[in-house]
Amino acid sequence: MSLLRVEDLNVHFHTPTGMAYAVDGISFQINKGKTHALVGESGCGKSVTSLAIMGLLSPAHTKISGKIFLNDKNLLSLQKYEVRSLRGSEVSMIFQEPMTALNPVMKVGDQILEAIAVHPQRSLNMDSGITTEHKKNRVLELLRLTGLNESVFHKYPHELSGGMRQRIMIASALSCKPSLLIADEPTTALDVTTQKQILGLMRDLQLKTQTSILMITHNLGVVAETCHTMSIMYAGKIVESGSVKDVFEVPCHPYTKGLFDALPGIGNHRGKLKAIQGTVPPATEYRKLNDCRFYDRCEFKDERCDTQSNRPGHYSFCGRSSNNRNS
Amino acid sequence: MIQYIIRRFLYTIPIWLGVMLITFLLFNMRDPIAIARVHMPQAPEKALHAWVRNNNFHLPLIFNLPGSETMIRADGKAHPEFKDKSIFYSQFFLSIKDMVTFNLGLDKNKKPIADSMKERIWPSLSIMLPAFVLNVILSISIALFSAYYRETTFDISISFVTVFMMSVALPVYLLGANFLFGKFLKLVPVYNHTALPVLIAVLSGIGGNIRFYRTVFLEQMEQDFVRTARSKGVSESRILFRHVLGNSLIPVLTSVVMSLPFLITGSLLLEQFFGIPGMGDMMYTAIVSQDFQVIKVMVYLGSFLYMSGSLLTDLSYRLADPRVSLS
Amino acid sequence: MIKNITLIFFALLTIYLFYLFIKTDNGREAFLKLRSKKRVVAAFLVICIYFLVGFLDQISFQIDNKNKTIIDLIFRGVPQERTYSAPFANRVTGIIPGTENEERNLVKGTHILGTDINGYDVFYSVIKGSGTALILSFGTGLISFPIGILLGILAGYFGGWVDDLIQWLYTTISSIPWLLFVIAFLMVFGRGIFWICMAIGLTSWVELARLVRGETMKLKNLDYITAARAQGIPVARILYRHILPNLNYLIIITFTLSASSVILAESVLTFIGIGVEPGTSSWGVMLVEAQKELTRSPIIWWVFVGSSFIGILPLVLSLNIFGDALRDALDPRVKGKDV
Repeated sequence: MSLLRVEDLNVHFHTPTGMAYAVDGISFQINKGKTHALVGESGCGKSVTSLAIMGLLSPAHTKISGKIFLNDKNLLSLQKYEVRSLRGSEVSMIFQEPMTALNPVMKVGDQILEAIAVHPQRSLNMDSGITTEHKKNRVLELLRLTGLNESVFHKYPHELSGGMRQRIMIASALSCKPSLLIADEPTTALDVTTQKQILGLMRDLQLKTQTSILMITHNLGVVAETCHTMSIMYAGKIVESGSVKDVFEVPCHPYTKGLFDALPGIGNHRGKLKAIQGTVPPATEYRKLNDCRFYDRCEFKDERCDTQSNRPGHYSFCGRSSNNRNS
Repeated sequence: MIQYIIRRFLYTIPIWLGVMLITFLLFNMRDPIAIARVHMPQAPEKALHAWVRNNNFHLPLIFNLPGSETMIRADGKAHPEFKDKSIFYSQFFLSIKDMVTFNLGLDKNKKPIADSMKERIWPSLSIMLPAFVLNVILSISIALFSAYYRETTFDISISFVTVFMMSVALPVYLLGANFLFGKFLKLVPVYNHTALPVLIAVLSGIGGNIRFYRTVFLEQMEQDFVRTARSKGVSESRILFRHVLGNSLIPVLTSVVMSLPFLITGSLLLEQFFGIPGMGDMMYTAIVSQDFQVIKVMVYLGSFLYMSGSLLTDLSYRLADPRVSLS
Repeated sequence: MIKNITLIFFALLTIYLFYLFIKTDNGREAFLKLRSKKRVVAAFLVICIYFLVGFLDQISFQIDNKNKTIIDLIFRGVPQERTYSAPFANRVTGIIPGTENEERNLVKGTHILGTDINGYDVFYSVIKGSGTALILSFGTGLISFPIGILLGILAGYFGGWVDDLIQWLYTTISSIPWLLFVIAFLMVFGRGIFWICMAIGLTSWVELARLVRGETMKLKNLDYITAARAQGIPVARILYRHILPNLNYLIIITFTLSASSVILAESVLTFIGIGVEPGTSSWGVMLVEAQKELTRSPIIWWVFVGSSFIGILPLVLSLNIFGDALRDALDPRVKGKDV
């Protein structure tokens, strides 16, 4: 069953240099207890999508349209206070830079406490009689859950390592048992070993709590390790999506192929790494491109361009991949 | 920690010396006869020389070097007694000694300046203290709302009004407010002569303060941890007061404490205009009557207070900010 | 004659420097950003008008053995009345003080802002005040900018004891309450425009030095500076060709903001009694006069309004708006919106 369903989401910004079509009509869905990856280069619109789901985009100069269904409730049609009541309880988010994402002059335990205090009944599974003691214990429980020592409660963010800070973020994000966790590049700022630990932690927690995860990343390794389904974004649109297995085995869209080809492999032949030629145009120029926004950089241009292909469970905006799986 | 306090304190000493040096340079470098003439415009030369001697301007400037007893000093005479005095028998060192021991000396009417100050400090404070408190409260609240509702009509109009208020010269406030409230509207009761000065002091000061605080608050609001707090579902008011204001405390506190010394120097214009016998009025009288000693004392004291204020704020926020290690 | 030529040369130099600024990357970007905001363009025009008018008041010629400036020539047709007259008045009403038994003379011309106690046109005085404001702004700038830039660059580039020394110097100066220091300075050295410029100039270089020092320190670590040093290019040349041009924007911002505070300070100082010399016309002097006039009955309000709301306020307001906008436009943190 689908927990989150994004339908034709558009997020446009008024900028001094013109209208930026950061997210230009995307759709995807996430099922209960599954992890969905939103993959793409920096600036392709993935973070904006996550902020739009959380309602964290500032309304000034911003135009949002489309539908975001969380359990059949359209988030974009809700009032501000309704959106706020969903944050932490139904949807929560962890961010890329755990150092700046935590308040530097507040103890980390207090920051988790703050999250609990927003939805104490839900967090503690109690209807009434909630005391500070209860909340504190819950914080300690969450610290244990994320593999941290209880003494961390009284520490400040700068006293902890990057991995520990990210665990704090995860602890506070999961404190009120959300149905959906959005993880915006959670391991990009961490070293590889810590990355593995954090991803492992997230996998375990997901199995325990059955929380769905929207994993935003540009790292295909992360996708392989943790995600069930994936969507690839380019220039504000989704160019390919499907299960991780399908897309990894048979990448259909040339952009996806380019991404995979660019990965260095172990034991590979020597030679130059294959990079995708050209660069991503600025968001204000998106609409000036063809329907297939990758057209200018694509190696495989032909007359089947600008059409979609839809195989069961594996979508790709590239006409070439309709019949032949190997083209 | 004690080590840090001592170190910080020691750092103030060169500044203190510098202040004493500059004060000395300002008041003692000019030709003594010229200064004497300023005091007594029509006096004959003998009277000028006597004045020079009375005010110790006949001493060597910086060091009492051998041979000074034979030179003709500023009072027209040679002073053989210099031979028996130490090398530190000079204007500079006497001046330093006075400043270090806070020997404030006498004003033009031979009254000890310290006594005058004791009499005058309360009238000054009775105006400046309420003005200060009002100023701080109003500026911070208006700035906070302005930052929170940024880009709304409220914020934009506040921005314009504050620039406007900053661009009005203080005498204009004085004349204008006095005229408007005193004569025109006849609002201010005659017996209460603190309301109007306080009002003018507040009006002339809040413009700049609001802009400054607004910038500080905006800077904090754009920090990542505010976004994190919002994503946890924390209410906007808590974000504003706990996170934004809490983290803005350092620059706000610094600015507040730094303006405290000016409470004591009083406002020259205000006191003179309203006939308040405070410190500012003392300064004004000194300017009109060319009483250099009083001005010198005020300059030195003002600097000393400012330095102390700076030291205090520095220490207090280093101690309060958990990010700073004090070893 | 020579004075006029130097003045015009100086004015052209300023305009040329401004033009150079527009040509740099920073400048061009800021220019584009600011051009779209009506408020800022209006402020800039106001500043230009006031400075132009003030400038015209500096260029003088010998006519009939008296020094007359261009402004004087423009106002040649404006008559001097006997005493006060209200704006736009064209006939006398009431008794002229001191002339109870004299004929009532018709006011000879229409004065937009009325006349002061000596019958001089108030609008004329306001314009003259603009000239004083111009001199003060540029005068203090002339003194404080070289000091501030030089010391800032030295402190930022060389670091070490040079930096410590210069920091000590400007921390000490900024520890002294500014107004007190300026008052003391003026008392010791004397009043008048020259000494005001000196007093304010010698104390206000601190702000610029701090900014320049910070910027120099940032620039020093850029690769192309390191490359230049590695090539053995002499320090002075590096400072002049590579670091100095990047400081342009600091100078302009500091100028606009310090000009506004100088003008306000002059009014306060004159009001206390240690400002410009009594003969000079400045807005501060007009305010001093206005103080007495507001208490008369009938109220003489036009000198007050003229000096404060036609003189000081528009210019200072525009300087503030323009300076702020410039600073926002050039703030490196606000470079474009990241999506």
